[in-house]
Amino acid sequence: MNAVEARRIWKTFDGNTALRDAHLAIEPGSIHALVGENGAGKSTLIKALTGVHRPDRGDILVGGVPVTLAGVHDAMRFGVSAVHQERNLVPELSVAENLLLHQPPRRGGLLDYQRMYREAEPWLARVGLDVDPRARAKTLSVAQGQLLEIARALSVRASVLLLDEPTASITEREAAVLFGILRELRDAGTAVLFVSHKLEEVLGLCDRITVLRDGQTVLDGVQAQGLRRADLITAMVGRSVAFAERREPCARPEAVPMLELRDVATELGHDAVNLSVAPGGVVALYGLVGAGRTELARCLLGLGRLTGGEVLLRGAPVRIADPHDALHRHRIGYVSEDRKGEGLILSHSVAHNIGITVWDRLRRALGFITPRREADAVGPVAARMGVRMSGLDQEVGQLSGGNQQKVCVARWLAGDVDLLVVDEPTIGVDVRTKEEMYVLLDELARAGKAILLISSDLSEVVRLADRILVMADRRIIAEHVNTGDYAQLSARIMDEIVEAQALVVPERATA
Amino acid sequence: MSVRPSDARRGTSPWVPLLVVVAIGCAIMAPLNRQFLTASNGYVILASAGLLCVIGLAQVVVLSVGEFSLAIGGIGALSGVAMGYLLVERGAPLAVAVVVALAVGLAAGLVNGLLVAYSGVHGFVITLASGGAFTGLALGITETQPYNGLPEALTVFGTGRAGFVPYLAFATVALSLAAAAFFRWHRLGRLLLTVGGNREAAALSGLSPVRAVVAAHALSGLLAGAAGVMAAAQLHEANASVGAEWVITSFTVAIIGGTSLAGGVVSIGGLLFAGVILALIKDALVMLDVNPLWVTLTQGVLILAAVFLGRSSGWRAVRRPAAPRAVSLEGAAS
Repeated sequence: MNAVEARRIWKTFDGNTALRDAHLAIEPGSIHALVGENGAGKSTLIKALTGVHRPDRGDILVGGVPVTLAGVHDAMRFGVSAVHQERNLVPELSVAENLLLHQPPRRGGLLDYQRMYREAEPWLARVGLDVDPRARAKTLSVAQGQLLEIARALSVRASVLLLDEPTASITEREAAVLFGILRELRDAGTAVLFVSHKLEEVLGLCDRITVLRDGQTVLDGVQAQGLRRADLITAMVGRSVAFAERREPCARPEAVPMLELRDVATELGHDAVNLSVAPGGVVALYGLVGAGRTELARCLLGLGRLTGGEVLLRGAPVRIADPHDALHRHRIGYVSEDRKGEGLILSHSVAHNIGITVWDRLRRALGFITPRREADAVGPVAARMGVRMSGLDQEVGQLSGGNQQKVCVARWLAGDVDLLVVDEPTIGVDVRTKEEMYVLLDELARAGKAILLISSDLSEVVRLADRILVMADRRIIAEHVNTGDYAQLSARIMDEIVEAQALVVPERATA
Repeated sequence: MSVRPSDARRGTSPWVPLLVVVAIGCAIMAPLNRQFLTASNGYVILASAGLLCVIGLAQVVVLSVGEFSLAIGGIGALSGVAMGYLLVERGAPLAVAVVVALAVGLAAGLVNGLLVAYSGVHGFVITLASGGAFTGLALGITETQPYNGLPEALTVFGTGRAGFVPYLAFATVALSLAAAAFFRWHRLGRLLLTVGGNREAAALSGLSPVRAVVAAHALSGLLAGAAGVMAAAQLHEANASVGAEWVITSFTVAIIGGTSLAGGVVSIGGLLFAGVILALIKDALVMLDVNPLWVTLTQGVLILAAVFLGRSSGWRAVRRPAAPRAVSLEGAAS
């Protein structure tokens, strides 16, 4: 019987389907991996299992019995405990207090510290954490804090332990220690769910693997043994996606490149980055999550310092001070991958969200902007993007994800930029909007804009790009002319990425 | 993962329910006390509301950008005292004294803004400290003795009336209209709301959050200065302790009025009604011979009520297609 099972789970947020018929079953005494690209639905699934989200449809079963989880406490009662990616410790409290936060021992209504320190010891020993229970949590290292959280998760008598990217911020040596402990827990009968982007770890540590893609389970608890990295990547990225014709290239290679990077190095660790985008060209920066693509884009906006090399715009070397400089002097726009966090002002109108870039141009005497002029400037852009709304004064927070994304792009269109950096332009949007977005980006290129497309969706890249740069670990490891042959390109690119990853992450499967 | 805009950042579009509250309040009071529906009582309510609204306005401007100020009372007191000093001790012309008072408010706000934007210390600490300092400065200048004998032009402005409408209220309406227009149509007002709505998005779109924070505090100082002048006019004296309760008042009026604590959403119309409601309650409690001490309790209950009211209308807004606007002008225009 499975320790925990999520069966046919559906979950929709504001019209975006995060999980569609997802399935995940974890056996007791096993380490189970959950992998998938960003936005595949991993976090949503974990939150469904821990009672943070109620699924729209589907069942959560604990020990084979369907349960309704109204909150995290409910999940804990059923023995399901999670350790999230961010640390959840109270820095000023002691190790023991943090450990027994949910059930501190009391005597006569007051906390019984002596007993607390005593009771903490075995849990600390269980995760191999050799620290004084009286020490403040803030004195622990990141890895120690993580072990402490695992101990806390276990202390509520958890039979299922969910770990969301536990190795994202610890060193390899620390990870090796963690893996040893996870194996011990497994051997003691605990069901462990391990979420990670590092496929080496997944293959080395886990017994079974579930892969999510676009909210769907594409590999359902398959044996990890005998599986190759390439198989996983293929499953994560998807090969069977039906895709339409590749766009007709319209780059003018003879023209002076709109953007050119020569041997660029940044404070964020990029090194020897060379790329060039011509007017009318779409160049894709493809890579897995964490390859450093977004960080490179932010450096282009002046949000990260260059430590070497040159940035040329329209053939002339430039220094870009900040996003204001990027927009108003250099005509560069950036559509963030994080629509709600970095893109939109949700409580404001469509007109207001699009108009941000043109207020300076629109303002009249004394700095006033007349609504007529604003509507004249913003309306046509919104119409061209096909934003479905009740009117320009509709609140952006009420639009669907796809329409919100259109508003994000429309802002830069209104601002009349020459170079548009679009970061994951179709993340979390429905299929129809995806198509519309492709047509729009094609039209923009045709109108002479240069587009740098950051994407983890290879079918999207093959659909849109003239050239494909492959990035891994903050370097460009390969460059391809887009032949439109998806199968051949994806096979080659996957091999390159797998090879690069193998170089970065040395084998430690047996550590 | 998607995040529904939370109730806190949504603010409300509250002036209609507030209007209902005002109407119900009057309907209850009218039969209870024959003095209530008289021109002189109308004057009392509006005169009190007129000052409350400007104090609230000073807070709304900082709230719009996602900050707040605890120095409003201190700045108001300092401005009023500066004016009193010039008029009484130096015999300066009224116009000069008023302009200097407003400039003092603006400068005090600017200092706050620069400190908040550039020091990295939380605005709570900065404005708590500076508010105390400004009050202290005002106390030092006056040596705790209020300046009496202000020119007649000022005191007539403070306590004169046309029918039941105090002259003071005209200033309030003018300032409110200016503020509403500022937030709706002015480049800088948009900057404040945008930075308040999503600082990260504003920065990535080439706007400057630092400028927004500095400007918000400076304008707030200017409005607090205006409130200081108005208070002196109303009391016929410039008093250093005048702003003692302004901070809580300013939050009360702003929040009941539907301005979002998280920034990005302001309601000037709501603010005006909130000011009237607060004044109405104070007046009603007096008319009903309730100990004025209870007014403070009522204020607290009202804030809570407004928050819950705001939450329910926030829920409505999620479902309703027609959107509340970021700035509601309706109240101010009516």
